[in-house]
Amino acid sequence: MSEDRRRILDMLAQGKITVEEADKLLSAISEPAGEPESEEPKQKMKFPKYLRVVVEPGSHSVKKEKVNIRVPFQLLKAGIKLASLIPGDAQAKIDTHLKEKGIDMNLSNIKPDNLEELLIHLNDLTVDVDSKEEKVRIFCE
Amino acid sequence: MMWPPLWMRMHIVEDGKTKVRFWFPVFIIWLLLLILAILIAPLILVAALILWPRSLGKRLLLIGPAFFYLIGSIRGLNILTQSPKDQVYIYFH
Repeated sequence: MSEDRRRILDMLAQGKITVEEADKLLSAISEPAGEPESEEPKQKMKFPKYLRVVVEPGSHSVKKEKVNIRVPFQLLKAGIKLASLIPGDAQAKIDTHLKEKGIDMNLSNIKPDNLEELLIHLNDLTVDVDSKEEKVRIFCE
Repeated sequence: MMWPPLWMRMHIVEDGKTKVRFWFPVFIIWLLLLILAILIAPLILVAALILWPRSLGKRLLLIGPAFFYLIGSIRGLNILTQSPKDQVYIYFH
């Protein structure tokens, strides 16, 4: 805890300032001075280019098979764009068939704009499944 | 600018021996598709005009560019499956 933060909390505990004032002061010290909020961090944010799926045999695996797939995100985006052109009634049929196969998703809800947002959040994502039989890693690069 | 993949590299190994190893010029397929698209463009335009009142015409017109965008996005796709003796490797350059 910084000295400034401690002093503010002490002042609040002593009743010298109100909760609202303490809140304002705390938020003021948490924001770096002289740095206006801008869109710069968003611009600097690097979008991942590829989705990578790596499957490797586990320590107790009999099969020693490896799978390494690298899918460009652009391809996923293009697929979603193409899927968005499917007429509504056809999409409903596809959704029904997917549901029958155990995949519960609504195609019409997936929009190309949503993917941009998803990509930002996927940037730091790593899925690691480690079992005796196999190791699965899904990550973005 | 986005360019479609020009070459596809394929490497298949069976029982430790290379069965298939080649570079396939996929740009030939894209060229053929482009020629086909130009040839059927008038038909698509007529179909789009007919289907316009059912709001399917616009979708029909957008399918072409979306499809070419999909083709252009394949570059960089890399698939490798490997077992101790067998291997399949496909890469779009």
